[in-house]
Amino acid sequence: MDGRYFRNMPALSAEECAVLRQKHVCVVGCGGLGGFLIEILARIGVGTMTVIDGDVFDVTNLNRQLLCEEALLGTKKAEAAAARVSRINSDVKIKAITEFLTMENGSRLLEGSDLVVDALDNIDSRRTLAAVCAKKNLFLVHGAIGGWFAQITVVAPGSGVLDKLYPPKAQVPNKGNPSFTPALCASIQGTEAVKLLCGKPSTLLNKLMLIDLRTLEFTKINL
Amino acid sequence: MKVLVKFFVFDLPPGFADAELELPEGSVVEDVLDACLDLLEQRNVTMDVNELKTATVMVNDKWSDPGDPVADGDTVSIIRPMDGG
Repeated sequence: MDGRYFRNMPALSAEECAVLRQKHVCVVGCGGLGGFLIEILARIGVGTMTVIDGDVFDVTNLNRQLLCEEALLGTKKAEAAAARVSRINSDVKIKAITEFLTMENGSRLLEGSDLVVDALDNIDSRRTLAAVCAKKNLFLVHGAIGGWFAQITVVAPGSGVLDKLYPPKAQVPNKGNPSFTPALCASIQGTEAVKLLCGKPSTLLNKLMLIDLRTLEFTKINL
Repeated sequence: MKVLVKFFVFDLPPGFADAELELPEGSVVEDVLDACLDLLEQRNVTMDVNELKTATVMVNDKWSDPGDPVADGDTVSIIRPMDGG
């Protein structure tokens, strides 16, 4: 469709837009973070996307998950993601995987991806994803939220960053998930994903961004 | 000796972003965490002990374990893990 990517420019060059259309991104998790990430990556023109989630929508997702609608409660999140992408941008080749990523199926599910985005919601699944990415030599754009807080980093394959961020006995109390937190976190993850796909340096490679939305403090820590 | 402690993404009241702690020579990271709990208690700030004790700790921007030593002038960053999506 002529003009679809016109407003990407000049923030992105025409060449970079063309590069994005050749790329394949895998978004693992189609919930709060994943919904916004899939929207961002589809609209900017990533050519191929695999979206993975074995879960279905429930009523508690309505407060924040972009893909969740009242009429979709009980339906598969990954299928809803694929349907929305098809309505937004028919240029995108989209594949929905309605199972959870595991050590057993991970290599197969990530096959062909240029980049992986972590939009999961628990520590064990994140560790599994990082291990599969290390095995496949894939960069991982990590994001996580909790209440008024968010964190984002870019994980080089095999760097072990997620194992450090999540010590073995880490306790993660429930801080809630208001609508604005996943939107912001996903925007920054999407930004770093686009940079990496276009061959630009990622600002968050080996750095952890920590965000406190109560005070609007954004801190970058060297890892 | 004195160390500067920085709390990241903990749900603490305003003014608790960092604190300077006085510790005996030979202290380790775990002693810093205990001193943090004492300080918070003195200031009537409630924090789950496990939440603090299982957090990620960096000393001068380097990953650290509970038994690692700290020295005068060190900056100890304590980062609360979060996993929501």
